[in-house]
Amino acid sequence: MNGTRGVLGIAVVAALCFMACNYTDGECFPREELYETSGVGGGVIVPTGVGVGGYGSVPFEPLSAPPEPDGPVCNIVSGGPCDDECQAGYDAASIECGKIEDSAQRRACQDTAHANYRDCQEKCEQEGSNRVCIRKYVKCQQYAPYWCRSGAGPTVCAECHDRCRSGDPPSSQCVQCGF
Amino acid sequence: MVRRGTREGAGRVRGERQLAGRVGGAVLLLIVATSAEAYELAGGVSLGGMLVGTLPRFAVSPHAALSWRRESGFSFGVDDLCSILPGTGRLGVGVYNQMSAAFGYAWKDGDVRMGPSFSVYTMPACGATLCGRVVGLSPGGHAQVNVYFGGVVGVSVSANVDWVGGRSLVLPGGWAAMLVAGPVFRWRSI
Repeated sequence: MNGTRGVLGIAVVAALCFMACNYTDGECFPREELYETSGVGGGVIVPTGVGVGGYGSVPFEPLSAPPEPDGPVCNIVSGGPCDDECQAGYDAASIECGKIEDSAQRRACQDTAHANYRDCQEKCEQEGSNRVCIRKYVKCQQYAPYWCRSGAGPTVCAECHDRCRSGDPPSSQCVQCGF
Repeated sequence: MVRRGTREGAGRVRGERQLAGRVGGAVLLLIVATSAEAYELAGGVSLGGMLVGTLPRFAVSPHAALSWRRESGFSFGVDDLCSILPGTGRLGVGVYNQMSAAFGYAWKDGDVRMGPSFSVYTMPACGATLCGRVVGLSPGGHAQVNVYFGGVVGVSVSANVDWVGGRSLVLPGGWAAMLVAGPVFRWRSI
C-alpha cells in the first residue's frame, strides 16, 4: 500500500514537472511598439482581456482611452462562459481588422472591436448580477421572515429583487430579508 | 484475527527485505561502475539564437555538464545551459536556464547526448500581439554534441526545444527553440 502511494506520489511530481506554466511579470504592450521609446505616443497599452483560449489575440485599450483603474492585466483570467464568448467575438473581429492594410482604418476597426468587447463584458457583468439577485429572491421567498414574503401586492422580497436588479443599494427592510 | 496480523507482519518484513536488497544492489552497481568508468566535467560558453514566441533572440550561453562515461560507449550526463538573452527594443535582458538529464554515446574524442530537460526563465518576449516580461517553467528536450580536438578543448553544439505556455497572455502557448555552439573544455577523473 505504501509502495503504491510512493509510486503515485512520484508520478504526480513527474507529471507536474512536465507541465509548462508561466505568467507575465509587470506590464505588456503591443508588438508594434517594441522599438518605440517608452512614454512616447500612447504609452503602455494594456489588455483588459479575460477568458481562456484567446491565445495571441487580446483586446487592447484604445490609445485615447484612460488607463484601467486596476492597472495592467497581462495574464489570462477566466471570466466564465459569457466572457469567453466576448473573447471569441473579439478574436474574430481582430482577425478581420488585421486584414485591413490602411493603418488608420485598422486602428479604427480595432477600437470598434474593443468597444464591442467592453459592451459585451458589461452585459456579462449585468447578467451575473441579475443571477445573484434572482438567487437572493429565491432565498428570500424560502427562508426570510414571513412579512418579507407575504402581502396582497408585490412582496417585500419582490421589491428588493427589483432594487437589486436596478443596482440600488438594499433598504433596511431588504437587509432584514436577506438582500 | 491474530493469524491475519501475523501474515501482514510477515509480508511487511518480506517487503522491507526486498527493498533493502534492491538498494544494496544499486549501491553495488554504482561502486562497480565508478571503479571502471570515469566522470567528466565539461564547461564553456556558446553563442547562438533562440526563437520564443514570434521574436528571435541572440543568446550567450555559459554551460556546464557532469557526465559519467566509458572510454567509448554508453554515457549519462547532467547538463546546465544558462542562456543570457540581451535586450532588444523596449525589452530588457532575459535569462533562460535549462537543466537536462541526458543519455548518449561517448567515444574518445567526443560524445553525443540527448534527453528530457526542464527550464526556468524570466525573459522579455513577444507573442503574436503582445510583448512583455514572462516568468515561467517549461519542460522540453535537449541534444548536445561535443567534439574534442586537443584532448581537453573542443566544440560543443546544443539544441533545445521547450514547451512554453501558461497564464501569460504574451506567451499563452507555443514552443521555444534554441541552437547554440561554442568552445568547450573538459576535465576527466581518470
